[in-house]
Amino acid sequence: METLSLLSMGFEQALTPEALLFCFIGVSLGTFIGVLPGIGSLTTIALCLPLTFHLEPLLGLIMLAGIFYGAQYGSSTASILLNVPGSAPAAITCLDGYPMSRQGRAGIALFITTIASFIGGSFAILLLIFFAPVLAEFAISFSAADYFSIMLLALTAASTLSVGSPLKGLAMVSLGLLMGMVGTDINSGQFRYTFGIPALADGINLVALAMGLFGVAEILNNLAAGNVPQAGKEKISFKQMLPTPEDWRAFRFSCLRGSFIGSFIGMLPGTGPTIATFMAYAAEKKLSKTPEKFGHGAVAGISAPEAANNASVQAAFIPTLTLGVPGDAIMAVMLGGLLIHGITPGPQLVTTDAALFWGVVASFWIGNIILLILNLPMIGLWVKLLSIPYRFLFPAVLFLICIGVYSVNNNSTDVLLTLVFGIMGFYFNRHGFPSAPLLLGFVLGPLMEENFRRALVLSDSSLATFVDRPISAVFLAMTAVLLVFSFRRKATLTDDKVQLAP
Amino acid sequence: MENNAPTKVSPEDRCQIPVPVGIDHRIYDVLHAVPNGKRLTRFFRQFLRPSLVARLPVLLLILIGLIAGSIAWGYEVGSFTDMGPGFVPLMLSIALGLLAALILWREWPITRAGAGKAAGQDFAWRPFCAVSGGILAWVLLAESTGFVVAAIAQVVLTALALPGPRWRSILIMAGILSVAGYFLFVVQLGVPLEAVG
Repeated sequence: METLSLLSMGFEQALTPEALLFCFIGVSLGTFIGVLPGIGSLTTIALCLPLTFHLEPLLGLIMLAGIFYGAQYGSSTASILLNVPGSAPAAITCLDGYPMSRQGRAGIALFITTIASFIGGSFAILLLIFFAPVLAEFAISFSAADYFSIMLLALTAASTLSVGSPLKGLAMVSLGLLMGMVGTDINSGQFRYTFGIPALADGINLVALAMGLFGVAEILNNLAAGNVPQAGKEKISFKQMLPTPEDWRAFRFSCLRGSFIGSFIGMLPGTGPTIATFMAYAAEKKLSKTPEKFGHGAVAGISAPEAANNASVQAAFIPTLTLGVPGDAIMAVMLGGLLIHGITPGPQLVTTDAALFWGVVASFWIGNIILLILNLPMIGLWVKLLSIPYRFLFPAVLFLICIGVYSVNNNSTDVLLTLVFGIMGFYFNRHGFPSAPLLLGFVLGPLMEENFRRALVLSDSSLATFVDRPISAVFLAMTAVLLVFSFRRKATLTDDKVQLAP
Repeated sequence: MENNAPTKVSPEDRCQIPVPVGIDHRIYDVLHAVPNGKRLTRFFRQFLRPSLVARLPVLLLILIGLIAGSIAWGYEVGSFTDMGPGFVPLMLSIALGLLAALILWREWPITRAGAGKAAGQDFAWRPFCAVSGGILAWVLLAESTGFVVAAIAQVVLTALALPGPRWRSILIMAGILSVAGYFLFVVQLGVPLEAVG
């Protein structure tokens, strides 16, 4: 009952005209950039971060979160119509969404992904409402050692559970952690790795790093690979969108299974929506009586991943808000934004900042309903967006990146650093080194150092404290299992590659 | 068989920059003097073996680890019982160096063949120069010549990343973005930049 009264308080916060406005702006912007291939939600969130400094924390968070989950709704549109994912998690939707589109069932595919997104999102919000306070209560007893271990698990998961080489992911995490060390050491006041640049005294600017690694690098990547997203000319009307009874039957349970998988993956620290969609798709294909239909326009092949996608995005707020440990790079930027606002996410947030926590949770539901309205009757409008040529998009995005980064500290050095990080991200990406673990490491670096040093001070410098405490020991054991598992998998992969190489 | 044997530079290979009507031919000459991307790649590549190109990022990471570690050594490192500011950075540098060395060792057979996908591609000089040039123009101009000039320079330079730029639409877009951006960021959000410095 207490939860419900808190939730109703949250709705009071989220239903003010201002909150509704920012929720609307957030989800519309999210859908907008989600639909457009080549601009990620991370870039947009980082871009809007400086704008929220002028806002109340609640409004800022409502808007940033809206961009995040709004983008997941939009990102399937380009996957279905153009076979180009609007964002990484929507890549799997191409597999069956595009064939559906080729069969003249694009409208139905869009309808199904929207409904699946809504159900997945709602499922995870329910989980957030009932599970987050319990987790927060449990997490109050976490010590510095426990926090260190859970962050270690998050970083290990983020680097090993992604697509690609786990070793390369771990190397990028280390690089990110090192970059998090730049700036003033809080214990001694010593400048570290600042190279005499005043702009680095407070550490590397998060917005500059995120924009470089994701905004600039993404544009360079698109342009260099020559796969400049093509403009489409499809038209979809609401009438074409209604599924047949057969589609509904395929949809029902796959959507629920997707929601479940997505929520579970999203709650784990260090795993993002991309892995949730891949797992949901794999599960559906395995469970299906007609697995041969997958890849040729199977409804379950789009409903499960889309439900999982949105469920994981909403569930990702559980560890971020209650533990202060972000699940993926986007949540890391969101966490950075909260810290800049002077809010420290953690178990106390749910009780001390109850209005903020429940306001945001309530806004999720409002946002999802707005998204349903935006994406069903108004789908034609979003589809039209796909006809904007990329040659106009990327100069405009780079312009926004320049002014956006500049506006954080009114500092040109930050813009220059954005370029440096952009080139760095582009170069390392091309050689199979992912950027997301780097960003996650960067945000968690200072927190981990602080907790590591505090844990050792509290235990009279005994490393045994990390295994003596049961919670910490469990997380460390999970980290070890993850490492062993991923390296065994890696070994077989490498053997394959060697055989393939001429 | 399509082989990547060195061939003559075909006309399509050359930097394709159309001469817009009314633009001074000297500007055109300058634009044409921008070295041809593929030839530039080939020029650099003759010094670099494919296996080295494929290993370069890992070697870079080892180098970063070594440099960061030696800098951390210069800070007070301390010990487990009394950690100095250099302790954690030193540990991380060692971790980075070791991980990179491990990658180097495990991927040795792959990189020996120089089979890295990236190593086989021509480096995209044109987008690289245009995007970097655009951002650099902003960095150099924003505070000296003001928002509008910096924004136009940035958008125009960036738009050169794709061959065959459409000058009229680029200029219109640069104009709209600079004016709209000025009102949004400078007037509304109070970013301290002059319209024209």
